[in-house]
Amino acid sequence: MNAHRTLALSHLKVDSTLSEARTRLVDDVSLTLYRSEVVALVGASGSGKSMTCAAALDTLPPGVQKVGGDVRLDDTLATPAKLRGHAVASIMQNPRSAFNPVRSLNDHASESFRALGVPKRLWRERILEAMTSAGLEQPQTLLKRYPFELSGGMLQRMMIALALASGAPFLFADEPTTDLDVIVQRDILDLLERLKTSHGLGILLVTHDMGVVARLADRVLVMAQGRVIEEGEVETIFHRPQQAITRDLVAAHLSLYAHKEAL
Amino acid sequence: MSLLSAHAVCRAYRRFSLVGAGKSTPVLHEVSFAIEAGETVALLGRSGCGKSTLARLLTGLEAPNAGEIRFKDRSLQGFDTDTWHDFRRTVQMVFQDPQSAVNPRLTIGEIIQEPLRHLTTLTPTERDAEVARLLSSVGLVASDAHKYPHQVSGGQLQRVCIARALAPRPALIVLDEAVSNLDLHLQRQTLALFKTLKREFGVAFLFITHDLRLVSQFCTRVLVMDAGRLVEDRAVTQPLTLHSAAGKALTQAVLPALPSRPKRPSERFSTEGVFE
Repeated sequence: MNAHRTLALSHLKVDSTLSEARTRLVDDVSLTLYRSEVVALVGASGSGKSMTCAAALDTLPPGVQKVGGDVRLDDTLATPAKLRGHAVASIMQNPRSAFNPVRSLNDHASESFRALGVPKRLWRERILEAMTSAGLEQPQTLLKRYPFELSGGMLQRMMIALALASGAPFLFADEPTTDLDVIVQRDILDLLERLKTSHGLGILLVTHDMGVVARLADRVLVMAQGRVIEEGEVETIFHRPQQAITRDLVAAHLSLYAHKEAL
Repeated sequence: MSLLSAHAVCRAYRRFSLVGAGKSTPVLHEVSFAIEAGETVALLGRSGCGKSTLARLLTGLEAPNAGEIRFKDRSLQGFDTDTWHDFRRTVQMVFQDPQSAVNPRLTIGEIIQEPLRHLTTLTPTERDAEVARLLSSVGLVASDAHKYPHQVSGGQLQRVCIARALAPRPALIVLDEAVSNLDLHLQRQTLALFKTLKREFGVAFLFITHDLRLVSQFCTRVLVMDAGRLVEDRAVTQPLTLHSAAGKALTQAVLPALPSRPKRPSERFSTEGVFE
C-alpha cells in the first residue's frame, strides 16, 4: 500500500477550446484531500465538478485543455501518469459502459495489474482479496463472468474492487451511485464508508445529490461556474451555509423531505 | 371509464442462441391496475422488478403474452390504424436514457417536430413556432433547435425528450426514470412544469422511479412492484407510509436529509494532516 498522506490539487484551470472564444470551465480550483476522509464536490450540472477531476488526472475530453495548476502528493509535484492508478483510482457513474463487454472480469483485473506493473504472481491473490473487501461473494466464480452477466450494483462493486486492487490511497468517485436503485445505492455508500476507515481511502466524491453528501461526506466544496464558492465541514454546509448558491442547494434538497418531521 | 388500464397482463422473455430457444423468464405476473384521466401515479420498485416492461406494454411498444391493455375501455390488440393514431397522440413516453431515445442525425428542432408532423395537422411555420414554445417550456432556448444531440448535455437532451413528449398535447405521459439523471435544480423545475400541465390541461402521469423522495412531491397514488408482481396500491399520504415488504425496504434506503456522522477527533485538522 502506498504511503502518501495528502493529495493537493492547486490552482487548476481548464479552458474549452471548441469555439473561437475560449470559455473557462474550471477557474482556479484548489483542494486538499487527506487519507480516511470523504470530500464532496457538489454543484449544478456544468459547474465544473467532473472537469476538475479530469484535469487532475489529465483525462480531459477532446476540445478541453488544462491551462494551469498542478497536483502534489505530500508536497511533491506529481505527473498525471504517476497519479492515475498508482495514487488515484477512479470509479465512474455508469458501470455498464465502463467495462468492456467482450472481456471477462478477470481480463479487466489483469489489464489493470499489467498497466500498474504488478508482478504476475501477486495478481490472483490481490484481486480476490479486493473483491472480498468490496463485498463480492465467491470471487473465484465471478472472475470468469462477463459484464453482461452481472447486475449494475455488482459491476459497481467490481469497479471498486479494481480500484482497491490497485492499492491507490485515493479514490475519485464521480456520481458513483446515480444510476443504481436506492437499495443498491445504500449498500455501495455503506461500502465506501467502510473502506474509508479500513483501507484509509481518501475519497473525492462528485455528486449532485445532497442526500449522498449528507450520508458520506466529511467536507464539502460547492462549485458554481467553474469556481469553488464555498468550502466547509459537512455540518456547516448544511446548517450554516454562507453563499446564496449553497443555501439554494440545501433548501432544494431539504424540500424533498418537506413532508417529514420539521427539520 | 379509465384512461388506460392493465388487466392481468403477463410478459416473459426468452433468450435465443445458436443452439435454440432458451427457457422463458417471466417478468410480469398478472399485473392489473388502471390510470384515470388527470391522475398522477407513481410506480416504484427496484431495478429489474419489471417496471419498464410494464411501461412498454402500457404504451403499446410490446404486446403482453396474456391479459390485455385497454385504452378508454378498448383493448389495444383490436386497434385499427385510426385508433392507434389516437392512442399514440394521447399517450406519450419519456425514456430513461436520452442519448438512445433520439436520432443522432436529426437536429433538436427536427426531433421535437417528429410527433407534430405525424400526429397533428400543423403547417411547417406553425410547427416551428410550436417547437420554440416547447423548448422554452422546458427551460431551453429557441436557438437550441439547430443543435444536434451530441452538442448538448445529458440533462438538456432529457428535456428535449420531455418537450417531444409534450408536443402532441397528450393526456397521459409515462415517465420512465425521466428525471433521475437531472440535477436537483432541473428536477424541481421539470416537476414544476409537470404540475402546471396537470393543473391546466389535466394531463395524467405515470411516474416510474425508485426514488421515494420524488413520489410524495408529485404523485397522488403509488404502486409498488416486486419481482414482476404488483404488491401495493395506495393513496400517497404525508408522510408516505408503505406496508409491503418491498415498499418498506425502499423507504428504509432513502438517503438522510442531514448529515449525522459521529463527531470526529478535533485534533485531526490541527495536526496539519499528520494522522493515520
